[in-house]
Amino acid sequence: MWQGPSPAEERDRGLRKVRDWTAAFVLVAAGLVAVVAALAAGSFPGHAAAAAPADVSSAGPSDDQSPSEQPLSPPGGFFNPGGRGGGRVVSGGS
Amino acid sequence: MVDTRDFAAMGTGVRVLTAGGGLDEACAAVERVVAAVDRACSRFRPDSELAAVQRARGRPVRVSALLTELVAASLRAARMTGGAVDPTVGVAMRRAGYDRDYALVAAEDRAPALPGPEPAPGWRLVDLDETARRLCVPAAVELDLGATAKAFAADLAARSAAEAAGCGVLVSLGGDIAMAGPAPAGGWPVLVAEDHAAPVDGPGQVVWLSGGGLATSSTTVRRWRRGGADLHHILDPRTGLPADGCWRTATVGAATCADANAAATAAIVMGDGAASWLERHRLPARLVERDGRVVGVAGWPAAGERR
Repeated sequence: MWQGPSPAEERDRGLRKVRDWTAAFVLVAAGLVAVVAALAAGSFPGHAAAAAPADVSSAGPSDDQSPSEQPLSPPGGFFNPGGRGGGRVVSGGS
Repeated sequence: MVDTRDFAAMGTGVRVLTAGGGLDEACAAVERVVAAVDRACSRFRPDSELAAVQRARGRPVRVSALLTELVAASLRAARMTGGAVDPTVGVAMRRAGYDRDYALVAAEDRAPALPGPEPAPGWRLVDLDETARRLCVPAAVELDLGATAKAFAADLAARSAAEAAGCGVLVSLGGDIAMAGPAPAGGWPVLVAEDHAAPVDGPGQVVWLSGGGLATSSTTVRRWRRGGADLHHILDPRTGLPADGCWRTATVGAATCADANAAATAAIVMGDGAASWLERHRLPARLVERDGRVVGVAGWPAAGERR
């Protein structure tokens, strides 16, 4: 005659249930955190870096800038040594 | 044959030169561009787009293509100068008393004196999505595009004017010079001086240019008094105070007026380190020390100085 699970088996089954529920809870919580984080990131755009004060160096920026971050030198023949006559326009502070 | 016309815009003098006719068309194009730039980014117009962005106090705002380009140009200037030119000096400029049109600021000496040093918040706080044309400026940050907008406008105006006139054009917005299209024979004759309002036959150096941009920044102009102290408009972002380096005036040539102007302003802020920085980037420059001594770097021509 079948007498049902022993107390030890009942305890083991209960512990397994607790373990499974804990794992499921952790997974659901992690998923919710990810969803909320993604929504927040989309709603409040971040910044490239912390709010550091101006990083001016007396020697200017470093040389490891990308080409698009470098000032472009003037075209060849910028100065015309053969020019004659006085100025027609003034470059000065304003 | 070079034709010339003068008018006023953006609180400064504008001069347009054409090589080959089309002066009316060129000037109309320049006026359109300058008016649009002023509407987009003036600090002193409550109806400007920039004013609306500031009123949003940190909320992202969708902006026009023009304001996107203007802000992008100011951030590019900040990156390429290591922050020596920084658009977030708006609060510092206001603290210094430059909170209205310059003519009004210069007319009075208001108390109190300039407060102590306070660094600019930093250009990295400005969040610009160029693709979506969305701009977000934190509530505590005020943008001042004055260091880059005029030069950017000169580039845009010169290109637009050359297309409208069908010939070579030079546009000077308050001494920030941009050229587009073919130059006249011998080049565009430009007097380099401390003040853009100086007479064309006054002291300085005449150079003849083929294209690109030329800009001058100077601590000797756009000055005012606050609490009895003399101030000028080129602020050092590290301190939020007027730059106090060894150069009083810097003139720089570059591929565009925007780059030339950023480099000239950066040179004033950098002080001692400016000459080597300009050499490294092959930007020809004429630097004037506080005592008036002139130093040419990166191939700036020696000839043509006039006393």
